[in-house]
Amino acid sequence: MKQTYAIMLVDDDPIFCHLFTKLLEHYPNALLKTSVFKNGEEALQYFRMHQHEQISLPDVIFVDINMPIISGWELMDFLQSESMELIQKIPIYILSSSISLSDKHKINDYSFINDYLTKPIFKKELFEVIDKCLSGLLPHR
Amino acid sequence: MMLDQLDLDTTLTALKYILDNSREGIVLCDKDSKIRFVNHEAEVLLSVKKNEWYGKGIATLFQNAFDESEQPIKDADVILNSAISKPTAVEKVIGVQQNGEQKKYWFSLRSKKIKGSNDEFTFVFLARVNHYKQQLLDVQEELEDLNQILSSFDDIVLKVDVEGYILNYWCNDPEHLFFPPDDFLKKNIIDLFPPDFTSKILSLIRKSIRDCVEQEMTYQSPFDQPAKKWYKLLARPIKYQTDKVIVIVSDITENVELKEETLVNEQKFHQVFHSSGIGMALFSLDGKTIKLNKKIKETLGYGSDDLGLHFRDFTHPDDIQHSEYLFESLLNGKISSYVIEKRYTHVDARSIPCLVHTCLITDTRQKPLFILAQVQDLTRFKNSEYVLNQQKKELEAAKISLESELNLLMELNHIVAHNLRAPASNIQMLIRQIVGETDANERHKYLQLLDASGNTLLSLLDNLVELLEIQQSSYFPFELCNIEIITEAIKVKLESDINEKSAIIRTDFKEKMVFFPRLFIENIVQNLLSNTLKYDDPNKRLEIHIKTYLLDGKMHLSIDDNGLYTAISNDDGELLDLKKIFHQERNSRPVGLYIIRRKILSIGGTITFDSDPKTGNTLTIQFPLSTPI
Repeated sequence: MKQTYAIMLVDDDPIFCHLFTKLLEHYPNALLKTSVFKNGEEALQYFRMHQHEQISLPDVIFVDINMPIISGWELMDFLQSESMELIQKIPIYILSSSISLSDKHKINDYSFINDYLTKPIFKKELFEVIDKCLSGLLPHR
Repeated sequence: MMLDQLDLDTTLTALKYILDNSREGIVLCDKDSKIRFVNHEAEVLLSVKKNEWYGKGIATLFQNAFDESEQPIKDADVILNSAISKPTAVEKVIGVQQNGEQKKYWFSLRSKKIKGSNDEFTFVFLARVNHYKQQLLDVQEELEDLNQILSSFDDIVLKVDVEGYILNYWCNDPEHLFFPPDDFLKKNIIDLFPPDFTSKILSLIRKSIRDCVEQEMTYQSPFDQPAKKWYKLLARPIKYQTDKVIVIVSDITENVELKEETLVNEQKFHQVFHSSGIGMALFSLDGKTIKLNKKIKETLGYGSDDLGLHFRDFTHPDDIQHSEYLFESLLNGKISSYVIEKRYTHVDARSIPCLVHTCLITDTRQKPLFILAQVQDLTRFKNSEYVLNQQKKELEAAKISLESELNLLMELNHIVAHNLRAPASNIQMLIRQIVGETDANERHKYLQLLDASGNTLLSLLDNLVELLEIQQSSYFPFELCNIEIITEAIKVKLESDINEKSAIIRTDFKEKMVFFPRLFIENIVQNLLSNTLKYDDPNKRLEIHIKTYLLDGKMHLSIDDNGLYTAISNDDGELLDLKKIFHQERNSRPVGLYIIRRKILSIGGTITFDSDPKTGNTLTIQFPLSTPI
């Protein structure tokens, strides 16, 4: 029986969310349950409510940058300023279509971000990331 | 009966009577100066009793005696004895302190030696002369005072007769004389001075004598040494003397030189005043013009005909109060000068900006005399300053415009780097999915998503192109546009959409003409209308109200609709954040708003957008009234 892991995707693009979810359905090493949050605000509300419930927290988080209401970077700021414990425990990836160098370099401002991934993302690259995260090696920044 | 016929006894009796009753004191001494007789008057005068003094020396009567200069006489015996022993009459004045008194009694002593047949004796006649002595002392004192007064003058005083002879002179310092006294006393001035000079002096002297009136002349020394000095000669008549005058010669060289220096200084001031390159005006202490130079005439148009005008009369009304305050401060001694920029009113009513330096002119005792204002016309400077400011504003506007362009370029770069990549990356991922998908239904879903992603990409590209086109419109010229005609033309263009939505469009153009690039005004109206038509509320019949009006002197255009609520605030951060707006492309109204707002702001106008879920949306544009730079 495959072990089940929770993946969180914070992105406002419904097409990408659909594709991302479909991709993870084919992950071979575990059963991945993907939760989609349409913007940073929704994700932040969730974290605030469930940060102390280990069972409710995802195992890996993917966050887009450009989103309405609260952007990806703004969400990172909140997580950092509120010193949420989860950021020390859960691997966090930025997943954006932006190829701007300024965006890519900005992850250096947040020590808890594991990496910057660029859309489009395909099965092989995504599964390697998931493998790393689930192998227990992560998070090690 | 003759005296010679009297007998000796009668004669002696008569003589004794005469001596005793004489009003003059008489003392008779023998040849040894011993007192033999003292008459009654002498007793009174000398406060002696005659019997007590018989046989004593005459000098014993005059103990504590003083000579005329009030010096004590130590050897009265010798002096008196020698005096009375002389055969000729001797007269002497002597002072005596009697009975220990401080007061001196002054006597005139006159002695006369008489020789008889057997003997000789001397009469000493005494008279009290205190009164005359006092007068003499007074005269001496006056003389001394006069000498002191004379010694305080540097003038030469001459007594000259009608013929021109110099009879006497007074001069404190002989150095001041033209000649040694012996060379000019009793000499005629004709023999002393050149003819031209003496003829004038003689004429003056004779006129003074004839008319009994003081006469005066000023002349320069006829001699080279001392070097060409200046003198004033005053011929003054002498009371009761009809043929003489007093001539007073005063050295006035210093005064003349001072006067000449003053004249030169006045001339210099006059020339500087009138030839000055800046305007100069002299004001009396009550603020009225007393002198205006040529430059003032050139600058402000006021000249000599306008003297007497108060400075208020040609000061700009807005500057009068401050000018008066400073003027008063000068007069009160609070300040000695001031420099201000003020405006004067030209004769032709133009306002002339000037730099004015004003100071108080005083005499040597610091008493205020008048006010001097130096006026520099700043018109050219102000014009240059205005031009420079305009150029500065233009440069600042150009800088802002360039910064805006740069920001836009950076934003566009971001849009291309991110927003356009999002649907493009979706398309690529969808194609991979479609290729690997075997289920027909799933493939169909992916194809639908592919179509949506394609549309999104296309829509974003359209918006981007529109943005760039409108950005380009800043290079179109400003012109007067009739907004009513433009709106009607757009309505025709969008007729099918209007009809489809059964939209009601009302217009109210209180102001029809707006100064703006035509292409851009067309673009604004079309963009606003098409957005409104696109985002109508399906539960309401779309109503649009377009109006123009003037508010605070500026043209306003507003479009109200009852369409869908758009959660966009007027906050610049939101309406001007292109990245955010482009990301909301699924409701593209903000894209249009962003484009319009950006353009309006770039040319000096403002734009506000209010959206209310109940009442709908109102967009108001305020156009800049004047031609933007």
